[in-house]
Amino acid sequence: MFKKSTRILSALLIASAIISISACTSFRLPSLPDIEPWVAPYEREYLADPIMSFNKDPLSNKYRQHVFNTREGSRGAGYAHGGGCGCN
Amino acid sequence: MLKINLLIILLCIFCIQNTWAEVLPEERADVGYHYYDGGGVEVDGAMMLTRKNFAGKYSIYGGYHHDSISGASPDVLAGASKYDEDRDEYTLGGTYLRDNTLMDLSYTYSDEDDYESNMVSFDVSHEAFGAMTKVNIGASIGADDIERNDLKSFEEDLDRYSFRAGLSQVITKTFAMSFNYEATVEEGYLNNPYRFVFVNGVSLGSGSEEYPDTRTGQAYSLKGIKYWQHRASTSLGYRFYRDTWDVRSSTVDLNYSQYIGNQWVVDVYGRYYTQDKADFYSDNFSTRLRYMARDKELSSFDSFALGGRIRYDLFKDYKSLRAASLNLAVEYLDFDYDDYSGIESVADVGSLGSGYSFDATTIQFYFTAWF
Repeated sequence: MFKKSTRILSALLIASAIISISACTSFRLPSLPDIEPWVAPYEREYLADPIMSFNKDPLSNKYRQHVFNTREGSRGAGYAHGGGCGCN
Repeated sequence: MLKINLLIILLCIFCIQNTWAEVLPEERADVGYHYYDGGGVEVDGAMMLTRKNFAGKYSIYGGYHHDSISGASPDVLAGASKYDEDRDEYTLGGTYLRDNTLMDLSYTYSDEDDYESNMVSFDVSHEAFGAMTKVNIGASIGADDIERNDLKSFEEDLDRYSFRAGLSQVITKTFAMSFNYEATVEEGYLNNPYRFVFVNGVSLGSGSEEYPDTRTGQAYSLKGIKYWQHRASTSLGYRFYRDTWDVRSSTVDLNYSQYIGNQWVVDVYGRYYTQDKADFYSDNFSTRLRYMARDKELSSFDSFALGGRIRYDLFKDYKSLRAASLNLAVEYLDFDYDDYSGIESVADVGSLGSGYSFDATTIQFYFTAWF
């Protein structure tokens, strides 16, 4: 199981590196056709409001997730990651 | 094959030319104090996080977190864990903006008497489809050293890897959603060195847990956020987690934010979590097995949390500061274990098999300034 996971992780790390390279150079893969945004920029007043952020209080959220991570058996997927144990 | 297709789609999205550019995260500094009290443990300390941008495309950030810990939860009380200890965590990172792409590299170091942790993370996010879609991908590699306070010859290590990918999508003028996936792989010493197990009511002593030396977990989360015309928002999220130890969990998060006047923002939030135990967990084993755990974090339990946060805006546009605020957050947590008895010593073995519960309170008080 670990070997399979390592293979997946390696593939995704390579994908991440390719994405970075493509962003840093003029290299481009064939593009999809342009899609017109159905919410125009001038219609995004509400979306741009700070209370519409998924992480509007980064310090407070990070602390809160640490409290849960040290007391639960699961983690990940958009929930803060970090080091340490703090697991008395 | 599905994973390859997913990667191709992600790569194509990254390569689309866009008319709207990604921006650096906002420049801000948060400095505060946190406090936790519950389940026989008290934790408090300072916390801070600050970010500064340069030349419109570079950003550096740093964070510090201190835990002053006293007490211990019941499952380690019969062990030799120190009852008072400190943990310091430092984070240093940098972000680079190139067109519609943000690249972020960070390092986190955490140190306490018997546990040292290092983690390097790399994340890339990219806006596409006229900034309606944001794709992110990232990975972390960590290395931990584990010791025992009461046994200087004890030294173990743990390697941790994680990969994450996510998609945020504007749905309407007032509604957005995000999906995130994260895979974690841990290899090495995964036990808690102080915890102990019971076999037919007899304690095998501190450090008698035995875990597999690998663990692979996968988490999927879906979250939506909606703006309401009375200057409020609601977010609802769900996460599913499962791993190779047969731990499965579901988490539901709900948050409501509301502006009050021009200087106040109030948040009310709730969270429900439910977990199925690891396949080698037992409060009291009937026979000695190859793998045995009595860590309550691997048992079956439910928890809920209910909290609120008040933000008061002190001023706007004063000298070099864009704004500043004071924040107070209070949260109540309740944990209810199905198959963990919480006994503190072998004198209480008659209670093995019964349930256990505890509640806790957290308080955060912090100052925020935007540059």
